[in-house]
Amino acid sequence: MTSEEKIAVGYLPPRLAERVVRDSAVYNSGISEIRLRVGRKMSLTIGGKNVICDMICEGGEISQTVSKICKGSLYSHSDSIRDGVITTEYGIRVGVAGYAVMNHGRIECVRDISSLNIRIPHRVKGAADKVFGLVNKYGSVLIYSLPGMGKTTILRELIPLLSSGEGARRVSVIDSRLELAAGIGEGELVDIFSGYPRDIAITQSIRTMSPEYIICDEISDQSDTAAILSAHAAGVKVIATAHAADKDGLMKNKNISSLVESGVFGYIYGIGEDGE
Amino acid sequence: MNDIILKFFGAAVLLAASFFLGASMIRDERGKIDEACSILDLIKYIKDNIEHFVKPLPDIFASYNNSVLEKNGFLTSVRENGIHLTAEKIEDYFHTDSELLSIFGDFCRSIGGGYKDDEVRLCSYTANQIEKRIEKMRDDYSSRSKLYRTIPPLFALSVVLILV
Repeated sequence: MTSEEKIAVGYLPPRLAERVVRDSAVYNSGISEIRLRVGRKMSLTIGGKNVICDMICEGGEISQTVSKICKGSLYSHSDSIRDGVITTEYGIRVGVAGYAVMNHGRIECVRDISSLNIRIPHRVKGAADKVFGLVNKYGSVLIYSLPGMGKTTILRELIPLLSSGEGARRVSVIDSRLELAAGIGEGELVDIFSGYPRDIAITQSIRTMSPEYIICDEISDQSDTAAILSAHAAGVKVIATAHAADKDGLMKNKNISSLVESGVFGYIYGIGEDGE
Repeated sequence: MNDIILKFFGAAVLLAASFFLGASMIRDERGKIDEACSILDLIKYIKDNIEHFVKPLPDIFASYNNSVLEKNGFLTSVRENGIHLTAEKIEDYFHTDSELLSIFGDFCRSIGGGYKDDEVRLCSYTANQIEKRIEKMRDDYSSRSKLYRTIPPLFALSVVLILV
């Protein structure tokens, strides 16, 4: 098991942890997801396949898991739980679903958490090095893939490559969903905007941090487009990610296609199922 | 002559021991109140940090200092094992009023499991309950301390009189 897998399994109650270790041992690939659902069988995602474990999760076990992930302090993660994800200090992201308590059209909090998706970082060997090479050659790069293929992990590994050592560059990291800074490792010339809306962070970064590169995850909105265009106009290189199965799918998003057609991105890098 | 000296010496020892016993019992009672006050202080500290700073529990305990709770090992255990695990053997750390300890034990098992408003309410409710217990302990202390100051020495004196 990788260190991230051990940490993820460590969040589980002993009964479930034992089962995960046992069931995953028969497979050669690593675990990319551990899914718990109240009253339903636990499942794993291994090598892209769904593996259903013959063990039903109890409500108390999900609460125990959440408590461990939140270090016994659920209240300190209420904002991220409202957004549907908890990011741990090890870069492990946990998707959360439950009963949403609404207030004037906004989610006030999530009670009775009934599903957890513990997403273990999937390191695509050398992928960050490859993107680093593309960045050095082309400047701004857009990375796309389906969810769970390692885009965010690549960005995390890219940040220290860009911002340290000889030729280190000033990098602003727009960490709107609190998923990038955790597990970032070393990095000298990094300014992190945690929890800011993407467009506001990009604008503030250009105005106050004079970055050479801006890194942001999961662009899709019109506001993201406008902010990135202004960064491009200011001479700042942008490295961003987007969800799409292929290039056609990517270009169907008008906001992204307008960025591509404006020549913002020097290279568009797609991650396939084989990690290439 | 030696007999008389020995008797007086024995009487003095008995009386001194009785005073020390009385003082020790008063000190124990005082210690229970100090423990209770320390528990109350901790709960208020937790409440303030959650309400105003939304600090996670490990950070709250790392920044909290209290000589009584450090000395009895409670804070050390909480910092190493977390409050929920420590709550399972809470009687190992405290000698205070059992009802107060039960309230505090329930608090330790529940804290951290809800959102900010729930947690602040829990802290307020628990602090309120503990304040009431402390008030009762203080009332009991003033009447008990009088008893502890008088009964052991009186008992020792009566023994001395009988034997001498």
